[in-house]
Amino acid sequence: MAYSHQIQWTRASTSTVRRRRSRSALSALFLPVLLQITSGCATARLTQFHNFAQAGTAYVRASQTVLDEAGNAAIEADSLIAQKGRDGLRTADERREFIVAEDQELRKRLLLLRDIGRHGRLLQSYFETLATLADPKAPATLGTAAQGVFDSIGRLSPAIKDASLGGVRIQDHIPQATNFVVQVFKVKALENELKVRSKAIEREIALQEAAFSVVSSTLETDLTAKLQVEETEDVIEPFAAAKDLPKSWAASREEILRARVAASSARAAQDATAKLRESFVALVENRLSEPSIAGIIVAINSMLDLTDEIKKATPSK
Amino acid sequence: MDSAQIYSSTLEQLNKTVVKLTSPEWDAKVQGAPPEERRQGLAELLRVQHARLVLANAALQDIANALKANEQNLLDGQKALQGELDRLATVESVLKAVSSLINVVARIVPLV
Repeated sequence: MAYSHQIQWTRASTSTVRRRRSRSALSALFLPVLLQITSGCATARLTQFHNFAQAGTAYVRASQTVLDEAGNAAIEADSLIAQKGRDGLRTADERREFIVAEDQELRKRLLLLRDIGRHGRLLQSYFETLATLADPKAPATLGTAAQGVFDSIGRLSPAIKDASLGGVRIQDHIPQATNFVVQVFKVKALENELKVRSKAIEREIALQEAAFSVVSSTLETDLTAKLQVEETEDVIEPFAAAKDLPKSWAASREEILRARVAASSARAAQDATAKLRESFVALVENRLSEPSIAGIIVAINSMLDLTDEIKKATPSK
Repeated sequence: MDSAQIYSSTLEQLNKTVVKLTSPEWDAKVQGAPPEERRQGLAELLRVQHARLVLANAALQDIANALKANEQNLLDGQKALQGELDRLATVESVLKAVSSLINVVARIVPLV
């Protein structure tokens, strides 16, 4: 018996344009994606792996926007604080020394965020390789390709695990391993690949989950600091001054207040990664269902909503 | 307390402090302070921001011993500072507590 369901996921396509050039960039991130879930023998297996790979791709794109936002928020918060506090430093040497040291620390943070993004993209490549391996006509060399991608993931992991951000070590946030059994698949190359590496891959997705837990917490602090400075300078001070208010004052106020609320829900990325990990286990156990995929989509949309709110709150200057 | 906990609680305190020192309510207090106190307020804001960045980027294994050696001073400093941030009684008392904690952090990681 075969039946099929369709989940339409529509987010219009665009490139990631810097926020000040286009505020609508993020809400229009993705090409329309059509996910099809079909049950029944070989087609069902192929579709499951294909759908998971698509969900993985969507996750990586959305998570990249969160990483970009985390980097932007860190730099913007630091710049606003530096501007605000500059008069506290007495000499040119003091000011120079301060800003050089800040730049150095921000570069370190951006490198870590870049590594987390690369790790996610390598996972995406692995999921795509698995989807191809699910096809009985897949070339025998694909197993080697999967090994290659896995090795690259493994080389990045230690640096991410050992890193700290915002007061928390990523390693301390890795969730416990899930017990699962690889199902029997007709395509032996796929079954062998999953038997050899699925548990290690589950740990790598868990590492993403831990990384986003830490990134979210730092993003929350940086955003709050940044938005507070903006609130003081763009909302409170113009209101307090005995001058006409700028025309954009009410709009800026609304955006800043809304973004303050969004900043407190910065955990969306971690939730999406947790759902991706659960779905990976379901995939390996040959029980990936429509609700699992739908759950990832909902979580990914929450990530995008969060970054949309944050972008909207950056006043055009 | 192990060094990882001391590390996390210190950074959490620095994060809370930077959030408070960028708040409109603190800004209003500092604006009403005498010029030299206002300058100190700005300088301490920069020190806190710098300390949180440096400490957040530091590898725990490199600073574990220094954290442990300064454990009591760090914990006392955090407690005193949080009390001052909750009360926001005077700019002077807050800045004194901020400065005291940052001076201990400077024994653990190099600060400008």
